[in-house]
Amino acid sequence: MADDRQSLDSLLPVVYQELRRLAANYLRRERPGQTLQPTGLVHEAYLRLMKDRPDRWQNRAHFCAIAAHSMRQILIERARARVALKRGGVQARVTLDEALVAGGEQSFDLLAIDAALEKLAALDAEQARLVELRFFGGLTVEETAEAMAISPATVKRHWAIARAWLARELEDNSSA
Amino acid sequence: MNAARWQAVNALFHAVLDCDGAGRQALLESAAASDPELAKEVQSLLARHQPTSSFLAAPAWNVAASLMQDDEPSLVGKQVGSYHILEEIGRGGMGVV
Repeated sequence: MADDRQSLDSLLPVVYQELRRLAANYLRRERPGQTLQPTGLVHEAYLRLMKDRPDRWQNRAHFCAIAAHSMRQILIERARARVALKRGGVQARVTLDEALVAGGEQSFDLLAIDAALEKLAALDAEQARLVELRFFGGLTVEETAEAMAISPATVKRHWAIARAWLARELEDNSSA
Repeated sequence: MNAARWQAVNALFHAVLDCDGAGRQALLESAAASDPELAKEVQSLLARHQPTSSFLAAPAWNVAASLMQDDEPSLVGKQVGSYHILEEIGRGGMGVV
């Protein structure tokens, strides 16, 4: 486990840089209104970094865990920058507009999700890791199961309760 | 709430979900008799257990696409003073041309 942690820390900046670069390329290429596909980004970064130094990665699951964490960092960094930009202005919170994706109207606060996830990590580190893989890494139930070496049924159970808990945390947060 | 308590909440939450309608109520009632706080916590989470809700359903990267776009909204098609903006030539660190 100590080795695992160490390799994670040393590889994180590599993946982080690569994902940032790819995301910037995607944004230049794509037309406004189109959405980025996290799995596409992760896949592309994986192929490029594998070609570079295949011995660095234990397996694809290992890579996905690092990529999910990097995605979280990138998005939170952007959200914080935007909040700083708008400080004192009308809109101080950053909301994610789901209308972009599903045509729905629900929006929520990315920084609040990040903070709630930190609180969940104190209760259950595994569940917080699972949410990171699914929500920030864009992994499916099966991919998450592989990355965490647990069964898909266990992923679904953890996901169900973690999601309910996070939903309540965000309600409490917005009513406070 | 601590980690051990959260484990107990998890166990009851899933035990209830594994039951059918009548069994759920019975299980929650017997849990409430021995540990009312625990039953209340689980009920509160069950109320928010909505598998079809859109909450966290799409990956953050997807819903945050707007966050990854440049912060400045496009002026194309808008009127600025007596000028009508036809197209964007480029944008950089200092602004948009």
